[in-house]
Amino acid sequence: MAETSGAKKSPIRRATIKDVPFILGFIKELAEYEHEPDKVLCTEEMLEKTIFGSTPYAKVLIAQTEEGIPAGFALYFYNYSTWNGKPGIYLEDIYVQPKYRRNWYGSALLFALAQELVEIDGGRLEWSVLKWNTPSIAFYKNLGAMPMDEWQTMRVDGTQIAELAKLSPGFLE
Amino acid sequence: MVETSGAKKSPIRRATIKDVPFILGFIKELAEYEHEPDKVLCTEEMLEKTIFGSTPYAKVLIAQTEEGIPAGFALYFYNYSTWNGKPGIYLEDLYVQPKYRRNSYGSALLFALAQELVEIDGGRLEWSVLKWNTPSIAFYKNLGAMPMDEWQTMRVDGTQIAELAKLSPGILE
Repeated sequence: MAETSGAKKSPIRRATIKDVPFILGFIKELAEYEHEPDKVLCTEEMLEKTIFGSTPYAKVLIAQTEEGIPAGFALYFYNYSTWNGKPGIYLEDIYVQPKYRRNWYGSALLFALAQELVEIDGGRLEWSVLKWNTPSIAFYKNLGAMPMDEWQTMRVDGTQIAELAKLSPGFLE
Repeated sequence: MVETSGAKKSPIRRATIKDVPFILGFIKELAEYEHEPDKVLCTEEMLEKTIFGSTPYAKVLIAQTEEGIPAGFALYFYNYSTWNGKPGIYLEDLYVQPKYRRNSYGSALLFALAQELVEIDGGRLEWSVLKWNTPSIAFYKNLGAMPMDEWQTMRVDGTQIAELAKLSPGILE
């Protein structure tokens, strides 16, 4: 696509390291929406290292306006299903700023992920939603998403892991 | 460790492509335990390609007896937390054959994962459990795991993804 001034931008593109300030802003705004603004310990340096460093642990798509202004993002990584014997995509964060909503950016992000999933011969697109987040749940159901009602996510965090790790000094052969 | 005949094996080691038949067997046994034996579409070829091929989508640890007989496994991949700005480990399957239980193989697998998590400077170890699986839930809580009660997993599967993908031919810039 010719990058001439005034040319309309595609709504979805891959993030680059220059997007880090926007990505961190979106992460914080999404945490605020989720009623957990103080939970974000992530910094720009951590994003640069873990997403755009030598070992990227996640991928990011940017939703942008026709003028190229970042309006939202999707942050995701590949997961795996042993039942399918195939990879899949786990969507960790999806967010579009309120002022840019009702412009199909959310759907466009999901469609781009669906496309990538087909490219890697993946089986599932998966993510989590807060149970009280009725507008989002409705949006997802409209796209054909099913709630995995029988499953409960478990988590071991921070210091607990260090304690567990001490129980296996050099456990791995 | 000196590999002489008769030398006791470490309980946990990394899987190799030779373990594929055992891994598939464990996947099927676990699915049967989860009341979904017909859901396993995975084959040995798919495991060889997606776990031991040029683009590995998951990692596998084998729990083995002192004689080196595979007794169980853990299949996992790296995930990402935007709140932490750090990777984590998502444990997709954890299984020890009934005849080898009560030998702490399950705990050993989790301890090895905790150790790997510390090595990658990761923040969380996460997995899912069926809500009716009371023995497993009790085991996990004993290790300090917390249920993520506020969150609901959503999934878009197979054919739905192909439909979504058609809505976005070349949507990515």
